[in-house]
Amino acid sequence: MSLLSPESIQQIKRLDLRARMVIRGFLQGLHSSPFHGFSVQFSEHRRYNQGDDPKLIDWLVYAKTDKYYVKRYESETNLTGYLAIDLSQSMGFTESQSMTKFEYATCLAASLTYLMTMQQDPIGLLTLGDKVHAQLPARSRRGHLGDVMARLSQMEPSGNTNLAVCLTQVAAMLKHHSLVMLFSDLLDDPQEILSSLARIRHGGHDVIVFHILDEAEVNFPYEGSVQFEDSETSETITVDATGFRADYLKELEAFRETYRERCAKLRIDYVPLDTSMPFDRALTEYLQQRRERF
Amino acid sequence: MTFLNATLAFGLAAIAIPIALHFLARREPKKVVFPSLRFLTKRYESNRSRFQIRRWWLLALRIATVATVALAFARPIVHQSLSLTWTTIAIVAFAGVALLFLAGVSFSREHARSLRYGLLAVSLATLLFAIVWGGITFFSGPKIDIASAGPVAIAIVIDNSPTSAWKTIDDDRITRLQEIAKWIVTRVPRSSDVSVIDRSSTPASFALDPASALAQIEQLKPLWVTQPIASRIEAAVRLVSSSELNSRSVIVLSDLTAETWKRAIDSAELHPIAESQPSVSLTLFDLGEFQGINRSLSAVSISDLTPPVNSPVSLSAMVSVIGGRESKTQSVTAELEIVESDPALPVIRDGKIVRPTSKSVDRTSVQIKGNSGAEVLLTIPPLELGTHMGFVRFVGEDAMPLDDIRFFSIEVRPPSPVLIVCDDDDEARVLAQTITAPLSIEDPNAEYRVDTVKQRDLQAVRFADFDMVFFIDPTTETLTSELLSDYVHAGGNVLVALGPSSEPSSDLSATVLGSLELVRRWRVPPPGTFFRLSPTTHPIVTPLSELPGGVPWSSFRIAQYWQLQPVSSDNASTQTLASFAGTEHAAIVEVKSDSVNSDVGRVVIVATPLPALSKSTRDWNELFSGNDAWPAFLLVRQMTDFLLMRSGGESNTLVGQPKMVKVDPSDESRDVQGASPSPVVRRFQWYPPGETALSIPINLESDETELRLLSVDTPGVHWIRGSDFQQGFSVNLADETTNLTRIEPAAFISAFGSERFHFVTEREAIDLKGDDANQRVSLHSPLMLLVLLVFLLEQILSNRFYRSTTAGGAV
Repeated sequence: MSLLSPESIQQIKRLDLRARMVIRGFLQGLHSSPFHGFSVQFSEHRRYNQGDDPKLIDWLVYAKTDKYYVKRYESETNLTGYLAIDLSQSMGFTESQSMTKFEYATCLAASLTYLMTMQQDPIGLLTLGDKVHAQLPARSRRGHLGDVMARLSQMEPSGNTNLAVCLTQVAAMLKHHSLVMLFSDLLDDPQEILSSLARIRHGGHDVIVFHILDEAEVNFPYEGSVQFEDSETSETITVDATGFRADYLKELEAFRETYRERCAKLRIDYVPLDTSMPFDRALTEYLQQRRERF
Repeated sequence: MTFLNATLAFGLAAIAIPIALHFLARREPKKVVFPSLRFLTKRYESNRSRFQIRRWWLLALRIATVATVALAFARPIVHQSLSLTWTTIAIVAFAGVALLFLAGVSFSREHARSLRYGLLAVSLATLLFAIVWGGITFFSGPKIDIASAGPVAIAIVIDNSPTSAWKTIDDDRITRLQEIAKWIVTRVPRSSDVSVIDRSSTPASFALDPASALAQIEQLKPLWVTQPIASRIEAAVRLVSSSELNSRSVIVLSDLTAETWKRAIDSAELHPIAESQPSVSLTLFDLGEFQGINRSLSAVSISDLTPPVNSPVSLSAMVSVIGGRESKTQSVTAELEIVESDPALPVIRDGKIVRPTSKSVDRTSVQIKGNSGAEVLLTIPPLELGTHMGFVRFVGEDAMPLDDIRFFSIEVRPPSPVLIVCDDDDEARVLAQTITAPLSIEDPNAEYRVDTVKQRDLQAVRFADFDMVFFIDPTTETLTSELLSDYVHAGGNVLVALGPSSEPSSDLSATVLGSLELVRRWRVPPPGTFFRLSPTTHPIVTPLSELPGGVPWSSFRIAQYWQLQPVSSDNASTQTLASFAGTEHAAIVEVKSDSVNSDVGRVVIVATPLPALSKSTRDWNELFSGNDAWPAFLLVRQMTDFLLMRSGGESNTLVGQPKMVKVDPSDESRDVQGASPSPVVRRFQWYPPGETALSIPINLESDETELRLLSVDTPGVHWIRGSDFQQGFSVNLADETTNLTRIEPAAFISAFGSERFHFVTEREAIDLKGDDANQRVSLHSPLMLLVLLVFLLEQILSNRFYRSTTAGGAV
């Protein structure tokens, strides 16, 4: 079993350790850092020592002084990240009883927090319920990581969510150029959600949508006659699951495709995930997209 | 339709289980909390109708599975005549199910309303039609008696006619008949009624048990005397119909020879037999063609069966070959043997019959090419007085031994004394020469010793010295003389040729003319009349009428004759053997005595003179005066032979016919003690031919002079011996009984004209179950196939075999 699979990560109880585990494991697996030259600013010169990358030699200084100097960089701090987590009841769903969509979302969010904190980017936490709750403002100090982790592990999905309204509020809330990372199953009217996302995007913010579904929602492993109950509306429906699977999967694919297309138009990163996917794959997918963007 | 295991049909009640499970014990759906319900609701309606249809189909298939299994185990059978009907019903039902399926598909695909309901209505109508039709057929169709799986009443008719003696290396007919019959007996269920009926006259009855039927079969032999096949089949059909068992079958094993079957087919006897008992099934087993070479010898023809002493006699017979190759010429050798006379034989010595031996006297060979025939000529050497037995046989063996040998017997008698009463010496000499030919009148070896006398000297003649008196143109006085009448009553034979000397007279009842009267003398204007033989089987007429080409009587004209007329209308006392052409007047008449005494002599009257060569008779006819007068010559000889009973042939007979043997009353045989008033019984032994034959004792009352053998059923030389008595006679098979010509099988189908008649050539094809079982068609196999089909469909529809391949793979 992969060390970064949801099952193995689930065994670690503390979220900060989980995030660290994810990120360390993830970075170890990368051959070259995708962060190279990403949001950094020149800070000082230093004498070239053996072992430094020759690419970093500042040839203008060499022309002036005839000595080798290497440029040193400092990370940019103007990218503010916001974790927007859907707190709806449906996020607490798990078929396999191992990891709910929400747990998966928090784990992923924690990992990203860890990653961004390492780069000293400020990161804030928003939860989306019936309205937006600004849980934590964006900070880049080192202690902030612990706060985020603590808050993430305290949250529980409950109640209904009006995602579109919440996202509209988020769009109004954000002042600086920010990166909004939305963790949700997006089970709401896609048109409204997408228009809200477009609003955020028009505000000049970057958006990454982590569309998290349960493994059962993606594969529909039911057989025979099954009575399904909506976790939010308590609506029930009895169907012959065996005969329905093909139809269901077709519908689901159409749903995802709608998001994929519209997000691409809005230059929003859309990352479809399900709770069975390893985190590194989720992160890789995300970072690959980021690198193409920057 | 009937069920062999009807109780298992109650298994149909088990269809209640899937119905109950469907409606009562329906499994509660699994409850699942599922956030993505929105993806389900969109297609919910169409899916639900499909789900419902699927559930109904599943229910129907589960009911069908249980029902077909129950039906299959109940082993339904239908009547053969209804198999087409049931097939049609099944096709209609399948069409209904197929339409119902289409209706289901159209419902789930949500086709146009008219299409959906139209299909549903048509399918339901079709199914209803099939069910109603099936119900009507079930209740109104012919019933099958299922008890026929048990014992059967079976009669095996074995055609052991003479042709069953056919034996080649590959084909031993009688053994094959026995084997097939045994095979049948050993295969019918125990406690069946089995009867073995052959062509003999043994009454048909059921064997006590299979072992006795087998013993009966073991004893079968080819029979020389056979009963008509139709009567044996009829007896068999009657016998099996009398059985209490319900399955009845008659199996006929035959080689289909024309001799056996032709009469039955031509007279259409078989059809009524087949129709008389509709419950009996008839099977005809064909033994097949005769494959092999067979030589056959026809009945022998002997020029003279009563030859004079020391005179050789020629013998001829036809030899024919069948089954030979067309191009191949083969030599057939025939041998003539004469049984040596020994008055002490046959006799039973040490428990065995010792018969007179035979010696070969002549032998000849003929070359026969392909399948044709040839005549063999043999000569019987001069023989002593007495009856001599002999036979002609082929040298070597062939497939059919019965027609390789023919028996005959000839009688050498002393010359018979004949008196010719004639006033004209020439006429008397011509007649005498006619009678004694080919030998001269004085030849001591001639058959007849002829004396001549004139009418005026008649009184001096002792008639008793002569066996026959021939009157040429007698006077009425001579004819009516008492002397002559006494002579006839004492056993003398008289031949009268009427001529001009006679006068019309009416009362002749006491004379040799009996009830005849001489009406008038007729003169026929030229060219005159002639003899026209009557169509009778009289020994005088038959040889003449059987001559190839006929006798040219019209060339021998008759100008004058006497009209003879019976006094009474009772024609029984006279028999007209010939009449004059163009008239009803009798020309040749045999006068039969009224007396019951068989010793009375025979009298034949010719109404015109013979030989009509004298001055007074010349203008009467030209029977002897014409050119080449052989017909009159033959006629005179035939009449002489008849009157003196020298035509012979009494010692030759055919199998199956009764035989009379005359025995001389013997004084010695009378009981000299004389104490008992009851007549003394004379004892005789009858020795039939054959290695294993037993002698048969025959007792005869002392005053009887004839031994009556009711039926002689073995060909060969038979002997009758008593004290100081020995006589043999020969018995032959009729030529046609060994005729191997076969009847075409197609003729039987039309002859029996019944659907229940089966024609088989293979042992395994014989129907041993009787008629009922043959008419049933089992539906077990098609139902089992249906069970498999329905079960598979149910499995496929309930998706037990395959999981969805998309599970786990989708993203």
